[in-house]
Amino acid sequence: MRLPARFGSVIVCLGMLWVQPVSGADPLHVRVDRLVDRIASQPPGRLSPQVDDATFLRRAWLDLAGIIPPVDNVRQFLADQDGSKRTKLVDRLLAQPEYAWHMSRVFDIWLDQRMREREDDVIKAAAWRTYLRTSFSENKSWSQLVSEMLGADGTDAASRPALRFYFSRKGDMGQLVSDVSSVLLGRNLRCAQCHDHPVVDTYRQADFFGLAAFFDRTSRAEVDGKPVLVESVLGKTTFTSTLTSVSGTSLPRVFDGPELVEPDAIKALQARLRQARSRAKLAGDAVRSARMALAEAKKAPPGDAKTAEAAQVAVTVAEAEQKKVERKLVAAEAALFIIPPSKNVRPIPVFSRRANMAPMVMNHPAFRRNIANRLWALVMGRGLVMPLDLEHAGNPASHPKLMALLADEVAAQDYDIKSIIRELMLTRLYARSTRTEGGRAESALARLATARVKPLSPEQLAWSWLRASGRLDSEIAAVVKRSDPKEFEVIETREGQLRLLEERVGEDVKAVVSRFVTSIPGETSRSDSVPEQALFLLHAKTVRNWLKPTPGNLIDSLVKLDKPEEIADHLFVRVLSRKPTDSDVSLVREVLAEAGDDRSAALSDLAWALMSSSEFRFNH
Amino acid sequence: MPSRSFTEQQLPSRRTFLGRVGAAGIMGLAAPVAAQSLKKQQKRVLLVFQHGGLSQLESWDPKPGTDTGGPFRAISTSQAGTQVSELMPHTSRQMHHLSLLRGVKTGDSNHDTARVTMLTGWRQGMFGGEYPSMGAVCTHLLGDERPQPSFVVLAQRDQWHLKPLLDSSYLGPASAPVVSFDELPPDNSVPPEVLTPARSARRRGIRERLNLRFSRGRVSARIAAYESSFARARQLVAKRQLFDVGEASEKDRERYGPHAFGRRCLIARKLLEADTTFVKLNHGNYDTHFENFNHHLHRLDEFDRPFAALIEDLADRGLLESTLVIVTGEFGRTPKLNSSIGRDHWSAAWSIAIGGCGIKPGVIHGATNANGTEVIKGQAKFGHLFQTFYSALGIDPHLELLNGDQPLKIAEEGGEPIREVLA
Repeated sequence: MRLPARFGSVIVCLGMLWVQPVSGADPLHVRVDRLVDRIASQPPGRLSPQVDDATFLRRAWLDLAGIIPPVDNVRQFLADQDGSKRTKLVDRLLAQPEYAWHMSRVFDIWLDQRMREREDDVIKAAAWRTYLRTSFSENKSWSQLVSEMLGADGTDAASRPALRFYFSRKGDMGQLVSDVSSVLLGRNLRCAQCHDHPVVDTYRQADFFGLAAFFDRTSRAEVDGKPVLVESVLGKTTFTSTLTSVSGTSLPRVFDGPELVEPDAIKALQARLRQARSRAKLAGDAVRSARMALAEAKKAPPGDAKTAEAAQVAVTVAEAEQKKVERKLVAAEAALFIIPPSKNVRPIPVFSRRANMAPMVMNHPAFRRNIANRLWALVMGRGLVMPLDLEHAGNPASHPKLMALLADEVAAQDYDIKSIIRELMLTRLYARSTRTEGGRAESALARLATARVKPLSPEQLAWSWLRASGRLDSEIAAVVKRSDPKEFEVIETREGQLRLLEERVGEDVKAVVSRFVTSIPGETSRSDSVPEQALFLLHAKTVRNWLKPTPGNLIDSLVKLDKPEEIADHLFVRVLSRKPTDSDVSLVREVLAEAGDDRSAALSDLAWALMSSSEFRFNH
Repeated sequence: MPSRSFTEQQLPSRRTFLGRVGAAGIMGLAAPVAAQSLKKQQKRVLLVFQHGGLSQLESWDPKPGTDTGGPFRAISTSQAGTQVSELMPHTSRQMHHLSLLRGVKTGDSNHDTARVTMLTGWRQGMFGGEYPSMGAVCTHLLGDERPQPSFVVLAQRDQWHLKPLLDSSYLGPASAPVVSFDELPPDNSVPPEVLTPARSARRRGIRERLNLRFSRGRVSARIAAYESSFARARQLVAKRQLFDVGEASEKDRERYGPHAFGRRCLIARKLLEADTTFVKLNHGNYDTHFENFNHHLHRLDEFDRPFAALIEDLADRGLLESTLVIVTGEFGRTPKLNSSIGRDHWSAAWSIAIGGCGIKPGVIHGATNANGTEVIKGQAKFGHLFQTFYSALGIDPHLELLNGDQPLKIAEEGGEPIREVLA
C-alpha cells in the first residue's frame, strides 16, 4: 500500500494550491457574524433578538446531544450567573458522550440513508453505528472518516465497518457513484448516469463515469471467509449516452479536477500484461486446435498412424509453449502487484485507483463546500445551498461569501467537525430568535435576520419524548431499585447509561422513528406531518404508557404535587425546558379547577398537550 | 459564469391550459381558477394494484392451446369479441365496463423500480429526488378541498414494505395517503376507552392555547402543517366507520365473497361513495416464480368476485363515469415457463385494464402475437400510460407542478395519450 499512498500525496500537494489562505486572527464565529450582520442589516425589517437562556439551552441540547436537557440541567443553567455560561455549555455538551451518540445518528442517516437492514449485510448496521459513534467520540476528522469509507479494504478490523458505505449499496455502481457525488461532494449526478443531466449543464455523464472509474476495477472477494474488496490492474471505463448514443471513456477524476493517470512505468507493465494475456490466449487456442486435430487424426483409418503421431507431437509442442507463456503471464501480473493474487490472500496492486479516490475527492473544492454546507444546515436548519446536493452555477449558495468562508475554514481546520460546529454554535446568528419582529418572515429568514424553526428529527423526537415523560428516569430508577451490582456498574458512567437506555427503550424509539420518518430518505430536516403521526400521539399505546404513573416518571411526580404553581413549574421545566409564564400558570390552574375530582386525568391531559405541542415538536 | 435558471430552461413548449400550479397549499400559493373548476368536477380514481405482477396470460390476454398458454381456457365476456381467462368468470360479466391495453411494454422488470414507475409515471430519480405518486398528484389537483380522507391506500400489512412510499414528495403532507392495513381503520384512529370525548376536547383545548402563543411571530409552513395534521387526524377519527364493513348487508357480504380482499373492496366502495379522491386497493402477492398456475388459481379466486362486484356497484350507482379505474401491477409475467412451473418478471408484453371516467368502454387496444411473447400492435409504453390516465381525468398530462422553484411535469413524457381508449 506504500506506493499508492505516495501517488496520493503528490495529488494532495497539487490540491493544496487550491486552498485559499485564511486570514485574520478572529475566531470563525466572529467572522461569520461580521458577514451575517452585513447581510442581515440590509433593509427591510429588524434583526430578531437573541434568545433567552432557556431557549438557548434547549437548542444546544437538541443540536449537540439530540435530546432535550434533563430537568436539573435546566434549573442549574437558568440559575447560573456566569456571563460566559453559554460558551461553557457548548463546550460541555461537545465533551459529553451524548454528542457522539447524536452525531453518529445524524451521519448514519446521511451516509447510510436509512437503507433497509438485511440478513445478508456484509457489514451489519450495528457494527457500522458503533464505528461511527467511536469515530465521533474520538473526534475523528471528516477527511479521515471519508478516507476510511472510500479506501478501506476490509482487512483492518478498526476501519472495516466503514465499508458499509460500499457494501450496503450492494455493488450497484449507479447508487454508489451517485451517493459519493451527492453525499460527499454535494452534486447529485443520479440523472447523469445515462446521459448528461437534462437540466444542469455542468452535470455531465463523463463526470459520473470519472467517479465510477475509481471503483471500476474493484470487486468483492473472500479472504478467510470474510468479504473484502480487491482490485484488478487493468480495465477502462466506458459509457454511452442513452439520449445521444455518443460514447466516451473516462479515467478516474473528480468533476473538472485532474485525471488520475497511471505512471509510465505502470503503463509499460500493463502493456506487458496485456500482451502476455493475448499471447496466453493464442497459446491456449493453439493447444485447443492441436488437441482437436489429434482427435480427428485418431478417428481416421488405422493406416494413418503417422498423421496421428504428428498430431500428438503438435499437441506436446503447443502445451509446452502454453506453459512458458503462462509463466510469463504470471510474472507480468505479479509485477503489477505488491502482493500478487493467490488463494486466500487479498492482492494489493502497485497502483490502485481506489486508493487514490479519497485524496482526489477531498482535494476537489466541492468536498469542502459540501461538508461546510451540511454542517451549516445541521446547525442553522437550512443549507446555504439547497437542496444540499444540487450546487451548480444555476443554483448557487444563497450567500456566496459566507459559503466560501466556511468552506475554506473547514479545510483549514483539517475537517475537524467538532470545532466547526462549536464555532457555528457560538455565532450570534445561532442564538437569534425564531420570531420575526416586523417585516416579512420569508425575507428575514433569507437575510439571516431570524433563526429558522427546525423540526426535530425522528430520533430527536423519540429521545426527547422519552425524557419529557420521565421514561428514561424511571428506567434508571428501576435499575437502582433492583440494585444489581452489574447493572450499577453500567449506569455509573454516562456512556454506560446511554447504552443501557438504548437497549431498554429501543422499542419505543423504533415505534416513534418508524412513524415520523419522512418520505424523503436522508432528509431529516424535512418534516412531513401526516395525520398518522397525530393519531400516534393521540391514541397509540406507546404514548399512553408514557403517561401512566410509574415510579420516577413525569405523571408520578406531578400527582404528588399540590399547588398549581408547583405543578406548572414542574411540567413546563421538564417538558418544554423553560419556566412557565404567568399565562401558563393560569392555564394549569384553570384546567385543574375545572377538572375537580378528575385531577389525575387532568394532569395527564396537560402533560400530553405539552408533549404534543408545536413548541415541543420543533427546535425553535 | 452565466446561469440559466430552471425556469428558463424548462419553458414549456406546450402551454398547459392550467398553467403551472403551485405546490402544496401550505406554500401559500393560490391555485389558479382552472384548477378550482377541476376540483369541482368530483372525479375519483380507483387504482387496483396487483403487486408482484399479475400474469396477463391467466387474466386479460389468455393464449389457450399455445406453448405458453397454460392449462386454462379463455371465456367469452359481456363485451362481444373480448375474451378473458376462465379464472375470472365474474369479471367477465363486467367487461362491457372495462377496456384492455394488451400491448403494454414498460421495459422495467425490477419490483422496486417498476413499482415506483407504475405508481408515479416516472422512472426513478429522473430529477434526483422522488416524484409524487399519481395518487398524490390527483389528491393535490382534484381533492384538496374535499373532506378527509382524500387519498387512501388499502393494504395488507404483511405485504407492506419497509420503505413506506408515503409518496407525496414535494407536494407535501396534505397530499399524502392515509393507509389502512388489513381492512381496519388507519392505525390508532380508534380512541382508547379512557379517552372520553370530554378529555379529548380538553386535550385539544390546551394544545390549541399553547400553540396560539407559540406561533405568534413565527411564520413557518412546517408549524402550520403540524397543526393541520391534528385537524386531519380528527376528521379521520370521525370518519373511521368508512373503514368498517361489519355492517355490510348479508347480500353484499355474499357478493363480495369471504376473502379479505372482498372486505377491502367493500371499504373501497364506501370510500368512493364518500367522495374519496384516490383509493389504492392492493392485492397480492402475484410474484409466481413457482407454481404459477396454482397461485393464480387462488389469487384470482380471491380477486375475481369482489372486484367484479365493485365494478358493478360503481356502475349501478352512477359513480363509474366519474371514477377512473386502473388495474395494474409492476409488470406482467413471462410467457415461457421456468423450470419450477413458474412465470418470471416480464415487462415486454403485458396487459392493463382500465375503465370508468374518461375511458371508452369495451375497447381492446394493442395485441400480442399468438403465444404472447411480443407486442404486435398498439404498443403502450409507460409514457403513453400516464398521458392516458391523466387525460382521462381531464388533467393536462403536460401540467407542471412546482417543486420549490423547479417546475416538474406530473408524468414523464414519451408518448401521446392513447386516443383509442379515451372517451
